Amino acid sequence: MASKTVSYFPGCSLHGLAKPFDTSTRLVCGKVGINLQEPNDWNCCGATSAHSIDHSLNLTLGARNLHLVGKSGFNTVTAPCAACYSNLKRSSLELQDPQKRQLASQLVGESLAGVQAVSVIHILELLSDLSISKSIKQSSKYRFTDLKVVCYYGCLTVRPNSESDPESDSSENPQSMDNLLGALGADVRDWSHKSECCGGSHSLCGPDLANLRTDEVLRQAIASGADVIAVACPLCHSNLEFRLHALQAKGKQIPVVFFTQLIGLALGYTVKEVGLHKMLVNSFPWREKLTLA
Amino acid sequence: MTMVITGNSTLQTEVEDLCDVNMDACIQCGTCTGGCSGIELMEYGPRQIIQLIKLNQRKILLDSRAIWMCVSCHICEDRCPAKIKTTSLMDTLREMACVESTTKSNEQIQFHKLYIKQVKAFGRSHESMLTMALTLKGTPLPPLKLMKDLITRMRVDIKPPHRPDKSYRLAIKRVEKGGSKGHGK
Amino acid sequence: MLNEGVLVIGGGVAGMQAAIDIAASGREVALVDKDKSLGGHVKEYGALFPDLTVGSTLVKQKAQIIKENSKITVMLGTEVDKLQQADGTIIASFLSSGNPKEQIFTAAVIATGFDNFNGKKYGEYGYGRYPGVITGIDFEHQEEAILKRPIKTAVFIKCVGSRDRSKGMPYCSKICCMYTAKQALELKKAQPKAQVYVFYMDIRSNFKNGEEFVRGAMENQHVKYIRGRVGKVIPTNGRLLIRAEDTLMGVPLELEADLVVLATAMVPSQSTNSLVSQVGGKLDTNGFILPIPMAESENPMSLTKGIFYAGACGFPCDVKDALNQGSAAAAGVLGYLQSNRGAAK
Repeated sequence: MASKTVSYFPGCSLHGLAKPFDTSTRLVCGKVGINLQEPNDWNCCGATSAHSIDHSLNLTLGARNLHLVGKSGFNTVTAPCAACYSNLKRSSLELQDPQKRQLASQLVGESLAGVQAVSVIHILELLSDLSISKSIKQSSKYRFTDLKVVCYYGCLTVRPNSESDPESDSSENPQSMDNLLGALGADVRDWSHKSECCGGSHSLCGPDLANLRTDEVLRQAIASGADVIAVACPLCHSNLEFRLHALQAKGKQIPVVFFTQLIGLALGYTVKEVGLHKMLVNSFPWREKLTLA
Repeated sequence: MTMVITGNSTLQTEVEDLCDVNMDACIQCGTCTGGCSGIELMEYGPRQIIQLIKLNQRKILLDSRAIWMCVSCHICEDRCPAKIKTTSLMDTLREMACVESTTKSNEQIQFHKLYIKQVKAFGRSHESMLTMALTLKGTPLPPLKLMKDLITRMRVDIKPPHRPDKSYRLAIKRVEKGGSKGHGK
Repeated sequence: MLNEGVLVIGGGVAGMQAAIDIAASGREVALVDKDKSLGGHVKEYGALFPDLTVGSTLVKQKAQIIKENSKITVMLGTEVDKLQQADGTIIASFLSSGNPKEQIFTAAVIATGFDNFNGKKYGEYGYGRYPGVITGIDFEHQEEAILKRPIKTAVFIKCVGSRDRSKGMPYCSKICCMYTAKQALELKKAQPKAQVYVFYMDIRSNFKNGEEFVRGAMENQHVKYIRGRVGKVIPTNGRLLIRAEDTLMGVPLELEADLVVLATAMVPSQSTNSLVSQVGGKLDTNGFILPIPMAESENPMSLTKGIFYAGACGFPCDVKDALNQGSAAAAGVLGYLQSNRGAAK
């Protein structure tokens, strides 16, 4: 297997509550020969506060990150956090404008030449690359059996949607996670809220609104018959987990896990190695759902 | 209630310059509002916000609750048949409101300011410290049971915050001196 | 044998009408269609506005006229692969069950029609994913079954693939307002107790008796029109939850339906592009045939020397308009032949 090094922007959440997303992403990537390299001294992407009330700060934060990526010799950066991905992509689109680039250059204090060439992809896009998804399947030790999953992409994993191909509808009915987990035997259910918003940006400053959104997502996920919700965003993850925790006495408890944890299991890592024991809902018969591939 | 449109409508051009959006492309179809993730708590949906801009209703807009109930999910923008960048528009209105609205603070402004303060100091956000800072400002602590479950699962970040390079600190100083220019050209 | 004949490409209603009118003058016509039967899209349509003529009845009538006229040779299952102009003639090469064949004509009419917009491009409406979500075209194809199925609430969503720049579809597809009114009306007639809602951005009923037709659906059949474009369809409790804004009330609105009909647009047919460009014609930015400016052509349907067009390959149009254009193109062909090649033998 040819190894390849990729620039990796974990974002603040993956150093905190979503540490298992980071751990499992690193395990999965390592197994298929991808080295993840963090840009030295990366900073917060700016979501949601900076872009909401201080645009120069947001531009500076984004431009500096993309500059750090470019400086270390990469023209693509991959982010597992949907909010980081989306906001960095917005910054990158903005920096295509020479005037914006000039302004950002003054603020960052660097020339920013070449920063517009850095493209931002979500970790789902990286792992869905044909050769990588193939080697995930080839390297898998187990297949999932009777594991009913809904893939929850959240709003920002697929937006802003700069998809130029009018045939695709990648933002309303994304397929990448469905395909990755489906290839490993998971019974992936189609459902209506794949890329609806969980209200995550308001979880700390407007919980009433966030609860409306999470309740709806949970209701739809459970109605689809899923045993597990697989997510690709740390904010969706904590938001759904916390809401389930608050509803513990009333509602059905369903594990909310990072999709990379599931891939990790199939690749032969243990429940502890991929951090599934750290999830709030952590009593699930994972072993029973795996058969040798 | 009669809405009075005054002669010199500067709001639309002002906003358009800041966020690079042509408000006149809007066909008032309501797709944005129909799919809006914050609509239950907004007094005006995104479609009406665009119309309010065209009608030069600066005070109504900047004092509105709606601009703070936008969760920046990009769904309205993604579905907009007129390709209006509604998310950037909302950001622009929030930034304008911070400067000139009579709403000096609300839950969202307070959160954003604390968050930004932390990011400026450490280069990154730090969940446990942010939670503490919010609590000091009067936000209720997360439920004890939740905190206990997170701590026993080793999910809580207890590392000291990041210390950014000098280049970062200098950039922040320049931002603080420079002021914002919006999302437009 | 057909060397002095006229080629009509496309056996939909526009092409059929053109063939009938040209042959009525005594000229030989070859009417070619890639399908196995004549009638294009219309053969599968139910009642057509404004007079509720059934699509298949109309096609049968035209096909009968064609059958009875020995001057018209119908070539089905045949595609025009190449179309070239040389020395005042038109050389067409056909592909029929894989066998190429070349033939010379004096004039040609392009009536390649349209394709249907793919409803799946609106993931938020769940076409192809949620049972109960169909397109207006599906409605036409399954009209009898749909009208019999007990329905408590039906929702029609207009402008699916129309006036949407994000989907690369900036134009108004023109006919959807009318076919939606027609379908809503048919449904109400079949099931008077059903609640029928139409979500619209604008009502464009600019056809003869179009306004009266839409008003009739509202006033006599009590179809409810709500101004707003639907944001999302969500399967809920075995039904379909519609989320939209009532833009006149300025409030978000939810309602549950059993049937959701997407009024999908007409899009340019794949085959138009290659044929038109081979004879030096042009397409507009939407992919329909770019007309010659009105004051620069002898006939409104003329494209290039000896070549005319008719029907929805030019722009979305209703059946009546397609027939009119077929006749207009025929007049153009006959005029052209009269002045350039002498009268019919």
